[in-house]
Amino acid sequence: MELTTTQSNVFLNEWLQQIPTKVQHIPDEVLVDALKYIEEKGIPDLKNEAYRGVPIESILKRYFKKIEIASKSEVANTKVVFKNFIVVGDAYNALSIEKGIRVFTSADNIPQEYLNWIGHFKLHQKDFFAALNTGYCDKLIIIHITETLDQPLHLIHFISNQGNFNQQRVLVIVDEQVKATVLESYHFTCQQSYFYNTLSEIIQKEHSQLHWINVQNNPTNTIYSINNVSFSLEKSAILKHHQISLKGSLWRNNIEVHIQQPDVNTEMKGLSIGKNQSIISQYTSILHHSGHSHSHQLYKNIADDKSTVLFNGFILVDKNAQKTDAYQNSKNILLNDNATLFARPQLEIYADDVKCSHGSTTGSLNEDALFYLKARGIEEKDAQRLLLQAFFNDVIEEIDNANIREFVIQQIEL
Amino acid sequence: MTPLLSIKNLHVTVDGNEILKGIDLKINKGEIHAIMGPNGSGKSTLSYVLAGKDGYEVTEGEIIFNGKNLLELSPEDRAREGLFLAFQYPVEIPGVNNIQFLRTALNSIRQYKGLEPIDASEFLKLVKEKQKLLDLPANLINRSLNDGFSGGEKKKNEIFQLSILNPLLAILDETDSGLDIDALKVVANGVNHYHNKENAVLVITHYQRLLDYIVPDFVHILYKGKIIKSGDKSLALELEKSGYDAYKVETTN
Repeated sequence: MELTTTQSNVFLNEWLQQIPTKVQHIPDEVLVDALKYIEEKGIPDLKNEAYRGVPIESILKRYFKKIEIASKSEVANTKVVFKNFIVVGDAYNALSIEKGIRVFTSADNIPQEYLNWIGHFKLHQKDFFAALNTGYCDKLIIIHITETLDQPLHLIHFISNQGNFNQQRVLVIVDEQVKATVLESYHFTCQQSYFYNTLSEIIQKEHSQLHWINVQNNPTNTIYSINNVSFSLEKSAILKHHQISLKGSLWRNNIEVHIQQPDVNTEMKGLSIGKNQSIISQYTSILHHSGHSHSHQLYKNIADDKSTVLFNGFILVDKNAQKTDAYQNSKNILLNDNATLFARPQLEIYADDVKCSHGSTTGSLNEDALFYLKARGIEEKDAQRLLLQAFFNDVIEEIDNANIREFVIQQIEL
Repeated sequence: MTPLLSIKNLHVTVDGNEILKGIDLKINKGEIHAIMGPNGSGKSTLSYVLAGKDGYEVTEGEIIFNGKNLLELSPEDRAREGLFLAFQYPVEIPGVNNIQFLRTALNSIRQYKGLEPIDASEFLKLVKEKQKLLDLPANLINRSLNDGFSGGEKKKNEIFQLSILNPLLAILDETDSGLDIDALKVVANGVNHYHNKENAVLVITHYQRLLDYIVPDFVHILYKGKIIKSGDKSLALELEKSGYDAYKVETTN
């Protein structure tokens, strides 16, 4: 056992030496905590419960023993879907924004009021990759939404065909009363395996309304992505979140929602479709620190081919978070005997006057329904597609913006 | 004339039990046949074997439909060749829109025949016409497929699909079960409207009642997996009077 630990440490130390530290903006205290966490905890191994089904250590050793960080590239062939966009990744920070949005990058002189939020929710003390991002990230972008936006803001992750490793960090602040829609999507042109480690901290002020849609799709199946996200909601804030995870070698999302003050409403919806040998792991934590709030989660998961799709939904209701209404549901369809599905609800409730429920179902496509459609002349594949669309329709139809909904539908291949 | 459907010495087992024990049946274009039989005689098995459902093993015999070996075709290709089964228990499929489903089905059949997809306005016209015929409210047919439909609405929806897809052979598997007399008349009217000398109908039923409205040219009595007697429509009336027991004796002799 001791030998294994030593070997792991050797690998980690050699590995870290290849990553130059670039960001100067992380507060000292946060940086120290992050580096300490990295050293103490190390890369999650097979025994790590939070990374069950995600053999991250062997992925790193196998594909990313040698890290190569690309020099900056030009943005090319990126389809601009919306007028407001910000490009992050290995490209220059191309952006086009209207009034109501302020953007700062690592190169700017960032006001202290923003820096105070960095690491505030201590993701770097909960997850190795959040700590890694905190200690060594390539680029920091701060997006401050000060006015209600007419158009959605499109956050584009762009990675060119160079290098194999990149870390991005985003801090978003949505001001009081402001309404905004953010679409986050990934444009990867790389042909080789690529490790992409991102961290987003999103602060929603009182009475703000945010609809955040993250669409993860990488048709070349080269991306290994770990994405740590934390939302913090102040009084009467409304968050609607869509997590769409499609093609790619690995999509791991740690999504944490902190309900800090009362009367908050969060609606989390997810669709994961695993194909080929993809691993999709959704790890959500809804943390009710304050009462009189409502959280609703609906995750639809489909595993095909030899893919692995995992959902872990954690709900915490603190002692003083009375009158909380928390609901979680995951529905899972296994399309292939070689695929793996795993869904686990985890509830920790310390308040006594709450409404909390969860449910999870796993099955294959309804054979009778499939036969009924085929008996009307519909091809097996089309019948299957119709049934799958019906299965996840209630996730997609909740995307109010028609352009984004269309964008999502176009990405889905069944 | 080559029959539209020709079943020869059909033996079928389900889970190792022989359900059909040598069925012979010929149906020509323009004809209406009725198969009557008590519970467990193999009526539904016959309809599922014809439609191609999994789990029904043909151990002997053959089925030729419109010149093709039916047993070699997938369920979807059987439908595209012109075979239609009106289900005894139509499946509820929440999230699949009734009309969208029907259009997909129709176009899939058209594509198989080398035809262009149906024009949107032409399709709407067809839907409206058949919807009226089947007395189906517009909001119903625009809902999810059979989702929350009453028993009668489901059966009407089957005949609505039949009239739009316009197949060569319509198999009605206990379409009359669970229908009140008004719905029964509407359903029968839909079937009669569909039927002409270029197609055929196979009515599978437990009771004679439906045959007052869909008048068969031939009636067959199915008992313990075999057709034990065939006749004209008077056989159905006779059967109604005497019950199945009278015919069971004939087989044992």
